[in-house]
Amino acid sequence: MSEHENQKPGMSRRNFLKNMGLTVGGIAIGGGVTSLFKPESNTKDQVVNAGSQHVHEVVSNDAALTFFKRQEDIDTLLAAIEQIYPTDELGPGAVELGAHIYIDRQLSSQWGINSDEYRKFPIMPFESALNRGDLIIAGLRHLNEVAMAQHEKRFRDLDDEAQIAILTAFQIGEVQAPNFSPPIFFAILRSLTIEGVYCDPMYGGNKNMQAWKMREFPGAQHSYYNEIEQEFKVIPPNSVAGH
Amino acid sequence: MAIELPKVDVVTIGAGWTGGIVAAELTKAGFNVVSIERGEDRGVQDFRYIHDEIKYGSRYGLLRKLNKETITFRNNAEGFARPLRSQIFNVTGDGVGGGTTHYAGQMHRYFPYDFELRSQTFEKYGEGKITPDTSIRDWGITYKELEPYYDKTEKIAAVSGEQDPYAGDRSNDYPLPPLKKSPALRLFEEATKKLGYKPFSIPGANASESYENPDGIKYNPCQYCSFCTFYACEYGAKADASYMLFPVAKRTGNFELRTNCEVRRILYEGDRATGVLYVNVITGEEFIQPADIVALTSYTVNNMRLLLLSKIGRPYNPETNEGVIGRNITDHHFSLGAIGFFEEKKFNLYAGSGVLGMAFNDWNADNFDHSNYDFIHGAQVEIRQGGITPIGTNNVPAGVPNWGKEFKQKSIHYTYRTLRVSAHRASLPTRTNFVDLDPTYKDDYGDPLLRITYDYNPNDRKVAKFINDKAEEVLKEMGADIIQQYPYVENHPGMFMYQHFGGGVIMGTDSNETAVNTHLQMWDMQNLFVCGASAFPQFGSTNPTLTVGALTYRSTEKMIEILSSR
Repeated sequence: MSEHENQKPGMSRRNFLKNMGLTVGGIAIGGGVTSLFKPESNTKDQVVNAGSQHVHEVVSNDAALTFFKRQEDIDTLLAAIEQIYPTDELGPGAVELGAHIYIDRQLSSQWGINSDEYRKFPIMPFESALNRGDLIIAGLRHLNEVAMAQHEKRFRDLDDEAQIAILTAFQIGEVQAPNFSPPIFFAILRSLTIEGVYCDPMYGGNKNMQAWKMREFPGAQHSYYNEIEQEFKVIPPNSVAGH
Repeated sequence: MAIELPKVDVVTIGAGWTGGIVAAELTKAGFNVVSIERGEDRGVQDFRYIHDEIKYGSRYGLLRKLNKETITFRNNAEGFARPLRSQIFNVTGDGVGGGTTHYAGQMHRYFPYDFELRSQTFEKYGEGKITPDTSIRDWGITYKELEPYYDKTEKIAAVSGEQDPYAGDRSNDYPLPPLKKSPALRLFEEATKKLGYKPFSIPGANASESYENPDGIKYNPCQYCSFCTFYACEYGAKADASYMLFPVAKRTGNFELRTNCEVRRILYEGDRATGVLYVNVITGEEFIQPADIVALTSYTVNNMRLLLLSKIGRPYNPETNEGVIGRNITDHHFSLGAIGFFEEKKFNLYAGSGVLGMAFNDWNADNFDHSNYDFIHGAQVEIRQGGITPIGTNNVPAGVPNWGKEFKQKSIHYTYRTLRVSAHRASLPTRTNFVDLDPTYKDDYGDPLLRITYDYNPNDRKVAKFINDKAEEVLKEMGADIIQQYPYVENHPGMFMYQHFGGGVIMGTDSNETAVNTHLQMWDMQNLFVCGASAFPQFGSTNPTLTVGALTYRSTEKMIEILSSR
């Protein structure tokens, strides 16, 4: 079943993910687990170098699990980000764009341990002591806890409406949690998803600049000196590496 | 034990805009200068791959990380000041070039009225127009006296622009013509003229054409590449101190730059500064750099903090109204205006530059009669086209969620169909706003952080409501289908995103209530100059950078006079 057949309007997120082989019932093992991190056909992507006519083979780096360890967390993440930026008639959603790869790498980077922030004590009650990585894990697990409590199912097994309802409850603070703020968790997750969708492809998301194409965003162009006075037009996108 | 180094003529604390001006002018005059910069060295060779929204937009790649130090904030003295832990709330420049590497480059002159705000307001409208707590002041210098220095700064910084019909008189035209006009700007121009306003191109340091400045620095024309504010310019079109000031100092042979070095104290004996104590942040070694003139040319916030830590000047006490350091802190902005969604039009918003825009000042300063209004001053209304990028810009009309299917569709649909008409206004100084040293939070060295106690003045709130209505009218005339005003904000939210904070070490002619004279010399320590927006008794409506530059150029004349007469 080709990937594009999954983009019919009305296809639910849950079915889409299932058909992509990205969710596994029961205990996660084998190809179903790793298929979400590797393209089905091969493990090498081919990249045309903008500066020359050669085709370089680049080993796919989709296989990296640099931050996440627990399959259930990954399952919840995929389902949540696909609700934040779904596949639709306009084109691919967060998962197909590789936003989960982006997020995984961000959380295992310095940013994931908040090395850019002032972290000194005392931490007041209204502040969070968790770093971003810990906060995302806590939030994803709590999504699952709430799903189990409300529906006796895991978050990834709920239908769209139920997933959206739970995410909304987190966003507006209708859900409580003992050691983190659900609205802050949601805001960071949303932010990471948007970044993972629209980032320069070298970060792992925005695969093949597909999101930029949907958005009619030209990416990293050298100059608009000749375009600045003109009406809008679509310009094929360019990545930073294409410079 | 700190190692004492050989004395130099001038030491600058920081290698940004003001540090660069001091370094260039003093070395050209034959004096030796050392600039001590806590961040890294960098230059145009580092900017080739700058068009990366994650690295520089989302992750603030050119800005100072806050892990060692930040500021704390509270709205009033009854509250507990919380540290601004994230760069989202506290934007600070870093490295050689400082704020001028990543700024938009706006270069506004203040109005003659701004420099005599108190006397002219009282003369025309009486004292009752402002609250008794509003501590606006005359600067001690007039627009006319500063004009030659505005002129000089515009030439060095290759400012492109055209005269605002309301602005003070100029001795010369702008050194470069204004930037090109995009269709959105032309629409704004047409609409504002129909409404009877006087629009003009926003002046700024994005060169509209090739230009060689009086120091022989060659600028290239801006390419409207859209990666401007928070990014650096790889074309040499933006007036970045690392591009146009420090190279001038270096080629004289009289200059030395020390990066990754943080000044921790200004040293003095009696009423005379003797130099600075600094630490190499990589090795931890401490040094003393003696100098005949100490130029405190760091960011405003650090200017205030370093004086307090060094115990120079009398700290301001808001209860007794005594003291000077920390008095009259001031700001401008905050997000004002309205946003318009156009169903039938798409604009080339992927293109733009930091300064590209048009504005009108019919509702600014004292350009209109305030007799029937209960506020003074006003705001500059403008349209900007900085170039939108997809992570930072996802406008949807109110009522649409900010995630999910409808969000994806509408944010994509409206990407090039959304225009903002924004405004900036001064936040007037209030006696109860001040800075001091925080009692709870410290930096990596164990020194207390700077604590900011700040809230809007009643005048600010009135101007905000007034100007949001005017912005909406403009969008209506432009033909927007859906128009939404920016949400009104009652209290200052403790976000310092624009690096336009000021005051705290204010200038004037009264040594009792001001810290520096009009040459930015400390009254209490005549060989210590404090250069920056820290000198502003209040902000005008617009960006401080040109005025800071002009004042600093003027202060270098005094520095040269002092050194020449040793």
